[in-house]
Amino acid sequence: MLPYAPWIAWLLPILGSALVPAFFRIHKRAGELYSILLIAAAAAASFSMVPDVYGGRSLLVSVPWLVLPGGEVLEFGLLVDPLSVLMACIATGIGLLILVYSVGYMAHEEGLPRYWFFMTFFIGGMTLLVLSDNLAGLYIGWEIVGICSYALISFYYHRKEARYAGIKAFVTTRIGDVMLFAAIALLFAKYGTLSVSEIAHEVELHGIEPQLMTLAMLLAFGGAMGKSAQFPLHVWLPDAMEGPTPVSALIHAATMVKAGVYLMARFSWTLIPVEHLGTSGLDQWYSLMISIGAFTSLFAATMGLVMNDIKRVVAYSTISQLALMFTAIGAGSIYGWTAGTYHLLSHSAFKALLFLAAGSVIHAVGTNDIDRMGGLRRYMPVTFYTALVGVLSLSGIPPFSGFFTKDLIVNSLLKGGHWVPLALVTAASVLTVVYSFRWLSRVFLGEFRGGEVHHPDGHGGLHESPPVMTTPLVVLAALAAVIGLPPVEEQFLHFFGIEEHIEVDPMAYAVSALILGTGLLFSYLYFLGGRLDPASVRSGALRPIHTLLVNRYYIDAAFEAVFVNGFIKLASAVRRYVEERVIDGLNYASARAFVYFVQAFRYIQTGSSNVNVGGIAIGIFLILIFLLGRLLGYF
Amino acid sequence: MWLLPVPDQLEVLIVGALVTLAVGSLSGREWGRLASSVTATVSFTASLYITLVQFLNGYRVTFGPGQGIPGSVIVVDQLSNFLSLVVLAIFVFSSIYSVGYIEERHTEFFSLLLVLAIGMLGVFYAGDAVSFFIYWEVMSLSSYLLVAFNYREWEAVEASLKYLIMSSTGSAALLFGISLLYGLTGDLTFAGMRSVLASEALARETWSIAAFAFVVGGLAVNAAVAPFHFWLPDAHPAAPSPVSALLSGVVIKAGVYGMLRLLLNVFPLEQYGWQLGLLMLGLVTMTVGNLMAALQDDIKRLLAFSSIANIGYIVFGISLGNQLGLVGSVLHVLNHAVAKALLFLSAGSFIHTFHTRSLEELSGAGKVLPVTGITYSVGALSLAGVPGLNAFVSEYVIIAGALASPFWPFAVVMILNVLIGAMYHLRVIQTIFLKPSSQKVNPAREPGYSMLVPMVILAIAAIVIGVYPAPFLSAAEAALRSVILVR
Repeated sequence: MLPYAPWIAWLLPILGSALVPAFFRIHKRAGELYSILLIAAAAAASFSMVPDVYGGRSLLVSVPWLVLPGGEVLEFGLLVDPLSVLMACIATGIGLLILVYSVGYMAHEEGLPRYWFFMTFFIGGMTLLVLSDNLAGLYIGWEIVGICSYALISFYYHRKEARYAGIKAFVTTRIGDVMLFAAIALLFAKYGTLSVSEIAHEVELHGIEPQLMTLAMLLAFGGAMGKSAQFPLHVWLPDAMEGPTPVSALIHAATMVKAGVYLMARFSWTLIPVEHLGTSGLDQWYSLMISIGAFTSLFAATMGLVMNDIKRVVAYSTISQLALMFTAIGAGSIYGWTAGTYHLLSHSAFKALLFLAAGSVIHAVGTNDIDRMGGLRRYMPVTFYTALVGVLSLSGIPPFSGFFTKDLIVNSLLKGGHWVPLALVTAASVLTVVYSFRWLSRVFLGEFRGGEVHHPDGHGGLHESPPVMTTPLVVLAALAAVIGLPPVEEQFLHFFGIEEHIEVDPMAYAVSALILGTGLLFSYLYFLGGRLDPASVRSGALRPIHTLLVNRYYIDAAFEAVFVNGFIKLASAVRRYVEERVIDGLNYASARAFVYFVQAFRYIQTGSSNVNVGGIAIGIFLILIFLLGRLLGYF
Repeated sequence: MWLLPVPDQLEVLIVGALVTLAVGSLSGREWGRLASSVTATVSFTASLYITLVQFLNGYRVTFGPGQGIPGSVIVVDQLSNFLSLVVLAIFVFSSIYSVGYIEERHTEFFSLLLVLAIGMLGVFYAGDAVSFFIYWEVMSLSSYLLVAFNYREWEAVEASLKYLIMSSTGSAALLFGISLLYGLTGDLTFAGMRSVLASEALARETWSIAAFAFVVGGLAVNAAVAPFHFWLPDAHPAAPSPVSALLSGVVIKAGVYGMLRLLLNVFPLEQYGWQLGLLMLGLVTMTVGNLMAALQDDIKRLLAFSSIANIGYIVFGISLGNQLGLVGSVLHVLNHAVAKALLFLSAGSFIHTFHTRSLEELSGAGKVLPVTGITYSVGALSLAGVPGLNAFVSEYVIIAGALASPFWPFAVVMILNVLIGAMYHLRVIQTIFLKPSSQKVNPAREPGYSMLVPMVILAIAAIVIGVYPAPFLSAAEAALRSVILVR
């Protein structure tokens, strides 16, 4: 470990981000270089912690933060264990790649200091979130990433949709935040500490209290649902695609949306020791997680089928894949837990890759609409082949990473006998294959349908992105290709200190084969082979379903009608009848009364020395009277 | 103790004062400014450094009679060093700030600053009543002169004269109380008085109660505890802003120190039962200060009343007598010094630029001078009790101490007072940032670095103490332990 690595990993980006605008004042390149070096240092610190925790070791680094008089010490602790180090490496490592990519992608944008400040600040917040042992620190990180996400979604603030999407994301995740806060408060009330490892120690000594813990965990899952966009709080993530694409790749694919998964993984790893998973009396927590997860995975995948925005397809896919992770952890076994975290790792690589590839395409074509793309394989070969790796990995085609990690998820569901979730996950995975290939073929295959392409930077025509953008693509593609391979899997398990070999049920392979067979068949029929016309779906028997999906099950519209418009109506009624008449009236009356009182009171300050010395005399006299009264026993 | 039989930090200041006077008088007008400001600042910094080293090493020493000045006892302990640290830090910043602010008679000004510091440190280190009183008068006399520094203005002269009269009354009361104590105990050292007064019989004596009333009354005049406070709102605003920062930030803390030392160390609580009386004084003081500040239009007068209110919090904390209350009070001495010095220096920057003290005429001033506006807001928000800034920590600890004491219902009074404080501090922030600019507020440049740097450093200090209070709380605790252990 580098000296002070656990501190450097998050403190450096958080504090250093404040200087980003100053470096941009010097020169644009200075600002970019500074930000990248900052995150590179944080990444070096994060990766240097890997050998220290390898094999499931963990260490607690803490400093006294607030010493209350009387000896009570509030500690600020960092928990360095495999899970937190894995997450920190994802946040800083993929963050670094995405920052490098941003140099090219954001080259012609206004407001760069703002962008780079929030990106570096975000990475610091995310690393704090995952490294903090203290739930207060975790919550601070949780809020930092939330505010950065809001600011970066609304980066193009002159566009109404972007502003609106930022607010929608912030408010929706806030519902979850409140629940997480309640969970933390509950744990604190019960255990009198905010430290996860101390709570875990208490649990180990005195056993678990199923009712209280279930309530706390359900509330924490509420927080996770908000941050990780699970039904019904998923509505913000597709709209969040209004932000710049590197933001989507970093925040809405690789890191922040994983915070919820991390939280669940953290609680079911540290609070409840692995060997007790499933027998801890927290069944309701696990069943809610697996139900919401399995449902959301299918639900989001259906909407991914019909979206025409190159980024929204990937966004719905993200919701669906995050749901798979919750399903796996919700299986409540060590198989499920490892499958979920492993899928988290592989998803970070291939989903960041897909977003960056989408960004590369948008950079070249200047639109998000996949109806105006096509045939880009010829113009953008690097982007195409890396995107292909991403698609193969996402749809779970061997030997790419998604195949192995999804196989483990299916395996854990099989072993636990969770048949309904298994069915839902299988259907979701079939749809995943279909929408992935639809996306690939609409964007890269066939003929270009976009007409003339004009570039803001002058040189016309379709062209490959600059090396500063394609290099991160290639690195991520290499990662997405190898992360799932059996030797890596073995290392991954050893990293967490899990020595037993995970037997994969032969049935799991059968299910995977079924998924791939069905998925590829539909993909071939509709997109790759062109045997059926995809447009036929929009007419005929499937039309109502298509309309339903394009309108996102009318959930967003319903939320808008009930919560947004309903709230505005309620608020204006409250304002008219309660605020203006009752509260304002009282306020003005009390303010006037206070002013009159103080104006009268001010006469005691006369400014006349005689009166003032008299005040001193009276004061001494009063002290005397008081003490004599005590002496004579009157008080 | 190389030349003079006093602690090193005091000696540095005495030598510094003489050197400043000599160097400043010998060099011409232009050089005098530079020479006197540099020697003064260097003396303060050196003294601060010596004190810091002593504080960190837990240095404790007593110079008895025969070792030091004949008949004088000097005690250096953690409490006196903690207060000296606070005082010297504010002196360093004020003296740097004065380089840009003071426009004439620099030699006189900086020598007086050094004499003021000598008086204050002497009060902190005095171990017997006579040296305490002598240093007390050194401090008071130099304060009068500094208040009247702009002697061509009628306001300054009137305020200084008033301050002189009132403060002399207080000193007279203090001296009378001391003489009574001497008569009762036959000893002038605090340690000697303590051992005699601790006996039950003497505490029942009427004259010992009279002595207590006069001593505490005399200290209360300096600390501006209501109803002894009337001089402060006149004297502090009339002085030049860096001096106001010193007077409001640290000089009134000499009275607080006197109370801490005498109440905890000389007049035992068991015999004198001063707790409830002091509590009432604290509550009255904070209420009077806050109510008077609420509607002020003169920005410096508002800050002066806010100082009275904060003295009320400190006295309230001392009166609780439990550890939380005492630690909170000692820490609030530091926090209020930082925040109030910051506020007066920032207000001084506005006044220096726009030549007015009226809040109405300063409307929109923060938009013209953003750095000053921000540093002012940091100080104002801190005293308004915003978490994350320094004053919140100590106010919170005092309130926690109140809640843990038998006097817990009175915590409500303090909470209400903090709310009133928030009200007028926010009003000022709103005035300088949100209101449309008044006619007096013309486009202007921020003042020079000598004024900006102290403000910015103090603002950063306010944030640092607010975010990471642990070391400062333990320092306050260490300071207090040296007094309580003696008892």
